[in-house]
Amino acid sequence: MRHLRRIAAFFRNLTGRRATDRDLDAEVLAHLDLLAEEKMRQGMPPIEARRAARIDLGGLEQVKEEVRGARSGVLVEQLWQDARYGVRQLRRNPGFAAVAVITLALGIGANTAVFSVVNAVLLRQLPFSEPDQLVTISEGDSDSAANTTVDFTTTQDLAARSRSFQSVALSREGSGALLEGGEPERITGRRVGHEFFDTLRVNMALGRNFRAEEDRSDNRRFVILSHALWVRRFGSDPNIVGRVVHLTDAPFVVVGVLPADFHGQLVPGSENLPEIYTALGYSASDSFACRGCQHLRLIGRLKPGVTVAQASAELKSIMSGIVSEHPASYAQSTTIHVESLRDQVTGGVGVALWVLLGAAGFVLLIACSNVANLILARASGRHREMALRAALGAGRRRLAAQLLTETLLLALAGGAAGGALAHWGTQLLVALAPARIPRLNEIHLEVRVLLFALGASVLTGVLSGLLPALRAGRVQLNDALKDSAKSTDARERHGARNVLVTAQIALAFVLAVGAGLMARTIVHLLGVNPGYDAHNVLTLATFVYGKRYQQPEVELNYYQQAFDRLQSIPGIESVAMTSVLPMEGFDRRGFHIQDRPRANESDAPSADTYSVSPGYFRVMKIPLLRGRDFMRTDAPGTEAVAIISESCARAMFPNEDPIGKHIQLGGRDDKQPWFTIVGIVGDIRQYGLDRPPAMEAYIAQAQDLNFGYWLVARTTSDPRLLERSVRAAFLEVDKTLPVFLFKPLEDYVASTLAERQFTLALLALFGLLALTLAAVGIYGVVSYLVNQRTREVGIRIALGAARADVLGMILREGLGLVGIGLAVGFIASLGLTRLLLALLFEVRPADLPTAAGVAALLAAVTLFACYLPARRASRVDPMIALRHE
Amino acid sequence: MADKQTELLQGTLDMLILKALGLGPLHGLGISRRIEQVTRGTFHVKPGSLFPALHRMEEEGWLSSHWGESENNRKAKYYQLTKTGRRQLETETERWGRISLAIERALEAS
Repeated sequence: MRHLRRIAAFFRNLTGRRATDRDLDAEVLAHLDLLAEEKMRQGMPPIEARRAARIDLGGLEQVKEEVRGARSGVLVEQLWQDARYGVRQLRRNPGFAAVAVITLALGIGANTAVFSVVNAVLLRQLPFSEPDQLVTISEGDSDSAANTTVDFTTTQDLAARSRSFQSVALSREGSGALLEGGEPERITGRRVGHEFFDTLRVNMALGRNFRAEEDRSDNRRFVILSHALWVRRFGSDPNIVGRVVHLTDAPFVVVGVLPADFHGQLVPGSENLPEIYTALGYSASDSFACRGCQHLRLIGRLKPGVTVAQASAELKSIMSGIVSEHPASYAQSTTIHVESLRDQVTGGVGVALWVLLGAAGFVLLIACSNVANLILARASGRHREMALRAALGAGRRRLAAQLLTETLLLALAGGAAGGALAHWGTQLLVALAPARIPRLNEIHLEVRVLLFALGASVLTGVLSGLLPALRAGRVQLNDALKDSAKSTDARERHGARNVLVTAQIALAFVLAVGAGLMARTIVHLLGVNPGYDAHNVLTLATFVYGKRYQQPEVELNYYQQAFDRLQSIPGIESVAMTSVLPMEGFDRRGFHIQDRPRANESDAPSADTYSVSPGYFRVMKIPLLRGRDFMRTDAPGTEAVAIISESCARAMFPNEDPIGKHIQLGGRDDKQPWFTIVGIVGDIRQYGLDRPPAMEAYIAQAQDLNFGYWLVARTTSDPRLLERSVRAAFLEVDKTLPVFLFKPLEDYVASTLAERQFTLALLALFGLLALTLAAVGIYGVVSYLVNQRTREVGIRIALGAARADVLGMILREGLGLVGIGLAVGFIASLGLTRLLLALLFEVRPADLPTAAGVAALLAAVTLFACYLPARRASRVDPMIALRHE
Repeated sequence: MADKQTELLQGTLDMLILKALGLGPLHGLGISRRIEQVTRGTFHVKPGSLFPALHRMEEEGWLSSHWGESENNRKAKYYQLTKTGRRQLETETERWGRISLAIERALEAS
């Protein structure tokens, strides 16, 4: 009942505001009359009585305002009033409004754009059922988390002994050539254990998952198609299940089609989006299933309630048991790493993105302080308005609320514009972002991002409005109306603005130092000699399959014929082949020396191993330091030869001549031939420009054929132009074999820089934004200062001060602000740039040259911003200045 | 009595108004004079406190108001207790009795 009445009163107050106001008017006036009458009855003359009554009442408007303040719905009413008043105020001052809205839009837009990337990449759940239960498991040394693979037999042991998992599933590379439904095409694929899709909890759109009996080495020709492949190559055939398709060389029975929303590329090892999944079909007796034959990826689904740490501890202890049972098969330090799938997917990009979000946050802070400054500057112009409103009965809180409402309006307008900006910004980010960043295709504006933008807007409004609002509450009525308090109050007001400008410069400094450090990192990296010359080298991949190619000579012949044709193409200087391309994959094998057997051969160091054709070093311009290159005569049946890198020679043969020594790569097996070292070549960087060279060993292609090769062709001009003729040369030899991944070698090198370049580009953009905003901020403050002191400057000039002195005086004020800002920024940057550590290369986070350079740049820009108003001051005409105000 | 002290005694002001209206309808000035009278001048209620309280209490449903004529034929807004207002007066009186008793005891003790 009571609530109903209040609710009714609430709406009456809001809707019938005029009527209730008129009623209140009448009531208060009547009260005044009654009071006056009372006083007249006591013998006061009428005029006196009315005056006394007014004094007793204590101000008509104040009383009415008090009553309004006591009513229900007063807050909503006031908010509405403030909002409308605010809009009127802003429309009256479009320049101010535009500058504030643009500033805020930049800040909010930058933040929203970066946040939408962070949201998609780092925050959103992986699109699997109960994704937090999914982990990746790998074997490796205790310290190297870099290893990502396991072997079959160890996995069987782990799965049998562990109690932490609902299921685990292996997978490996399994691409093949598809002949059905169109041109022969190489299709990216995975071979997966039959538990794979159950572990991910994926239900087929058509058909079913693999059964356990379809995952045996004698019965594994079953395939599951991706939805896209099913549409593209099989016309969405609803009767596809049970059909036989030919993959590479063998018939496979289609058992299922994946749903369209299956995000296969998020599973480790599947980054290139597999389109065919065939059964793994391993058995323990397979030679490649041995302990130590690590080439499989393992995912697992934890039991409910089991944490990653618990599972990791359990598997580590199981693994140490396995190692002690089979000491010859493992290095002593072998252990197990368990990582949540989410961490594995977002991997190294996390740091860069968080840094960028922080940087965007700085830009927003600068934008806030700029707007706060603008409002403060305007507040001094509105001093009298505020005093008048206070005199008419507006309380401190009302005045503060009014200003805050105005700022919120600005911020919301800024937020709306920022949202639009973020829409473009996000697309720009996606375009700029390195391909390594996962899930970028999932970026779009969604509720969480919009909420973020709204939250950022409100926060911005409150942050930038708070200080001015608090100040507005402190109006000194009399002084303000008489306008005599200007000089003292102005100084105080100025103090706050100085602090804001100092903070801006400090923030801009930190951002610019971050950008500077990244820039130096990139410059250092570009200066790194990778050990080969990637310029004008075309690369492509190919492999052979089928009965015709079971003899190695036939395969070698295929390559040789392709070489012969390629060499006659104008624009191609030289060609060669390698099993592993720099900056793309790797093949690490144990390095064994014949006359140095080890107690445990698994403890042998490993070397990056390349099976290459003669001429590879010439094409890549890797210098041959000693001995000889491979030759055509290094063929099957002749002495097996190897070439090692400089670092490898130094590490393995410190005090002797490596040439003539005998080595084996992989496992030590005295029944197998030993390779004789015949040459030493320069080091190369396999894993990235920032990773120092490791040991490398090269063997002759003809003596140790690998599955699949990369062509490297040195060209005289842009290698991209040769793609068509190179492809034709291969197809002329055998048109059923796939040739794919045409790419200049430089692209692989560039892709290792992509993440840093992305970070640099955005940091530079944000730094520039911050610098501009800070310059605008200090310009505003100094202009204000000059205005305040026009009269003083006029007197100085009239008394004979040189214009240069005036200029210097104003500049010194600005210099003081800049100096303090830079000092604060420098101290802050010492702490904050450490966050960049993981991205830096040969630059320390506290890099003095960078800091000095940035300081000089900032000082130059901000001092120029001071110079403009200072020059205006120095040109003041004393006659006009003295009449100022 | 200064405004600050009446603010301190917000609940008291409500009770005093209810009490003043217990005998019949009054206009604003009448209420404040009645309060002065019954408290022998201890409480002087200023319009800036009185009117907000009246409007608030009317919204609560304790008071109703109508326009009427004063003793000297002047227009004035009169307030009177509603049923809820009378009940409120009883609760307030009872509560106040408890409080003053408690305070008395507290002061007597020690």
